[in-house]
Amino acid sequence: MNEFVVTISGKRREVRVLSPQTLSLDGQVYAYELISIDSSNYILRIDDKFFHISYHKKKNGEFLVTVDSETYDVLIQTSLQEKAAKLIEHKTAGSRKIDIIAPMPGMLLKIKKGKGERIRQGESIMILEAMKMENDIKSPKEGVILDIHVQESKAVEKGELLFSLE
Amino acid sequence: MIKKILIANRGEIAVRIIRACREMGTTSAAVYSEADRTSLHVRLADEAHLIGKAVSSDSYLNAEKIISLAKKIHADAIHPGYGFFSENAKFIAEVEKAGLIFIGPSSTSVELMGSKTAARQLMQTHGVPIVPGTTESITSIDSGLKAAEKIGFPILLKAAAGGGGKGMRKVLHPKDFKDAFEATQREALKSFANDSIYIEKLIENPRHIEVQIIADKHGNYAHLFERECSIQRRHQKIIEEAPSSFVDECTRLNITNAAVNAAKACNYTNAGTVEFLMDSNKNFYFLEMNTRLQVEHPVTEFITGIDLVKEQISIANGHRLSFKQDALKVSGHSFECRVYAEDPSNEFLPSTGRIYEYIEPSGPGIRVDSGFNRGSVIDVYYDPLISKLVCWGADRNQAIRRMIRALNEYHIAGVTTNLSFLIQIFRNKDFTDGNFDINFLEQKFNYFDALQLNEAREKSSDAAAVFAALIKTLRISNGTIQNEELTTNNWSNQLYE
Repeated sequence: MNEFVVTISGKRREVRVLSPQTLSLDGQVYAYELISIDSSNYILRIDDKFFHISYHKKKNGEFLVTVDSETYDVLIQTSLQEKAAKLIEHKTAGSRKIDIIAPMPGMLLKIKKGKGERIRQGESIMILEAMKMENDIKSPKEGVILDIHVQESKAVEKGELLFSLE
Repeated sequence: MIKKILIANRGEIAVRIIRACREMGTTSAAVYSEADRTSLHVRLADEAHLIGKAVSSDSYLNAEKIISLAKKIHADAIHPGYGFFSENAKFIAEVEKAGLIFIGPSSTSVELMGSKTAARQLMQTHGVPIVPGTTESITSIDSGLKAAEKIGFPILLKAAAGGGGKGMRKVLHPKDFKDAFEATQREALKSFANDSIYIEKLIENPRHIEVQIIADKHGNYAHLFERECSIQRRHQKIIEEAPSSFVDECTRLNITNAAVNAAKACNYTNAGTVEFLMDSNKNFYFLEMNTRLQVEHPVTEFITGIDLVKEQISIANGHRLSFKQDALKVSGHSFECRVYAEDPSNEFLPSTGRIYEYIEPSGPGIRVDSGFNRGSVIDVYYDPLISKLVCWGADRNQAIRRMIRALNEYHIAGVTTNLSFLIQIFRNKDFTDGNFDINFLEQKFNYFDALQLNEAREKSSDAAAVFAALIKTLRISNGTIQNEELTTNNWSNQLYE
């Protein structure tokens, strides 16, 4: 249970917690110490270097981890979880439907495309106004719009389903 | 005599003004919207008044509420900060009519300079060089396209009432004109309540140089040298510095003279900024005048030792400038970084949420003007500026090393910030050599490549990876205690499994 696979900045790292004082990162052994300040803030020592770390949990094993001035999206899985996830991924590889969600809360200024329209990769589908700036919501890939789930001039929440394409 | 000032703004600039008031023994009255209960300006002001809902039109952009509140609480003056009402001539006129002092220029000066087209005409007649383009606003796509073709693509579409980089679009080809025209008009209407726009020729690879000017009500004018703000993304300034590494003594003399002439042309009083574009041959063109305190004013304060906000209040009180032009000297070098809640690795999407840890850098030569603190919420309703990190150094190189040091010390958790992006810019050789123009970030700088070369980041990434695994172990082995601790943490609902 002490073997973990961490995905950070697109890289896969392997961490083994060997004892309450030692661990290995990609096979290299380090001494460590973890001191809790409160439930979201810690001091971490790795060998002779200290870091102030803040974190909070997002979903499905994802953490937002801040180390000094750097903030990382970190995905953490036990080795077992990684294997299971790979199996599931394999099974669903046949389905090609993609859901595009709102990257931030805002107001839907304009919907430029309609249901059934063929679109290119990077083509602007709608304009979302947030923080007083107009942001183009672009299609991540080529395809056909299956459905548009939102209306013009309406507010949307972060993570709300905007449109689906195939 | 001004005894109480109502600050018609929010965020770091409201805090900045409150601090000046405190030092001068003047009472500060803050206003806040329902979304800003946790903001720093509310906590620091002598008194704070709730004025409305989060949406600006009900709060920070509601003239009636602000002016009637000022009268009700017996404020003598209103300081607008930047943005919101700062360059709204109609608002200023209403403040003047209500018998209150507006800390800034007169409504007449603002009106003259507020219309970019009128300002261009005025500058032309006063011998200040302007960027080629229309001096009238364009009303239709057809007439606009004709004018644009006459000036020659590429062109810029700009909101006549604009400023701060908003309501502005580059158009490279005639075929893109229609979409750009409509989008600029919409943004202009939304941001400035005025959809009139005009065309300027796009000056190729210019640098953005601006001059801080100040004038009292006794006809004394002064400049506080130039600032360079060429490091921009989507026309938004990100890093500013003073003095400019590009401007030599002779150019400095000419451009500061032009700026003072521009201020005199509109009978300007109080603090203001005259913006220019400078081409590679050091020719400069009037861009616009910002009739307010600028976001980047701290770099000027660092190199001159003048407190611009106190000076503004003193001028509004009818006093003369506290210094003589001849006594001013450029001392050292200063940089400002705008720290935004946005994700540089995901197309700079704004990031919202509660800040659950906040530790500012400090030490020699560092100043942080922040509007938020631990527990504050960064909301979708306003600009995502968290703070301005400003530093001073004996020369440009020392200031650069100091800024990198300070950026590395800055710890903000809960929202994604552009701190890492700023660090990579300060490590870029073209930037440190002073070899850049306003297209630097778009054309010459690759954030992701720069990240690969940053060894310090590798260490912190190792730490993050190790940390995640340790937290996971704690949860597995010590689940009950850990869970209890987590559920008492109300910073974020997302904490729970």
